[in-house]
Amino acid sequence: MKKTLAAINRILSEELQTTVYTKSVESGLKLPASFLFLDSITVIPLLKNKRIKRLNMRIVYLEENPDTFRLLRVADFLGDKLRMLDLKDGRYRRTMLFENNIVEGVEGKKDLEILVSYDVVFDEELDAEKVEELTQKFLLKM
Amino acid sequence: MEIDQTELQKYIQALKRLNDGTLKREFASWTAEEGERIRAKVAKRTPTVSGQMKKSWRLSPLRSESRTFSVTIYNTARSEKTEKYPEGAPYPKFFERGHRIVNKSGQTVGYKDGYFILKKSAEEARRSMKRKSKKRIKELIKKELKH
Repeated sequence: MKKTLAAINRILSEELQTTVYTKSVESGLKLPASFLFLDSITVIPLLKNKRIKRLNMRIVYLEENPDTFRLLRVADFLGDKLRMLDLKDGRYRRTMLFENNIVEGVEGKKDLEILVSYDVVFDEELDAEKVEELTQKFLLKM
Repeated sequence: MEIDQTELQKYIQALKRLNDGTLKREFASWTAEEGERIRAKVAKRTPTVSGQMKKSWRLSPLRSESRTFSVTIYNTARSEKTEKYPEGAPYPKFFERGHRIVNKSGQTVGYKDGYFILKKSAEEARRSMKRKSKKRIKELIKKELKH
């Protein structure tokens, strides 16, 4: 799961060249910025201790004065990168959901909101600590 | 070999009677009832500063479209009137989904994540309605079989 998040982080910071945040920022925001929120983790039981953990994530992309065309181009770029996520260790992870919305925010400024989710097969006993660590690190909304 | 179909026929007749309108009436009343319950839940979950948003949750009248019933929960709270928002800013929308924090000159200085009160409540409602409907339909069939 950490690798999935790290890969998304890399795409947002290196390839899209934005500052990545995982929590709300009250002041001093550097634009363009991306917010990566881990909304929830859905558990689907598999055999024995194995579980599928579905990571439901939300990415918010902000620019100072973006227009719809620019946001659509960013959405297209992220769509290409996130649909088949390169973990950089020879593995790829396919997204189970990719949805993008352009929403009108405060002062009529448009924001890009992307919903993505990935399935990770997980061993309940072996990886319990890792999940706990991850839920503490991110602002988990469950 | 003979098969006694009396019970099966009774069951079919009960389902037919239910399908005549009882089920539709029941679904309509369940939807309205559940809508009101969710509205109250959403209002309870809303954090308060002035309390305006908390008391502005509304429930639309029941809508029926062929075999679907629906209600909408919405918020009518608006901020003070400004030049950009002559009727007041629809801030519950920003509160729900997250919003930029802008300074007086209109520059973005931060971002506040949303509370997703409606989204969470809708997901809960979907789960609970599925569970409750199954139980209620079973009860209706049982009741109809006794007639």
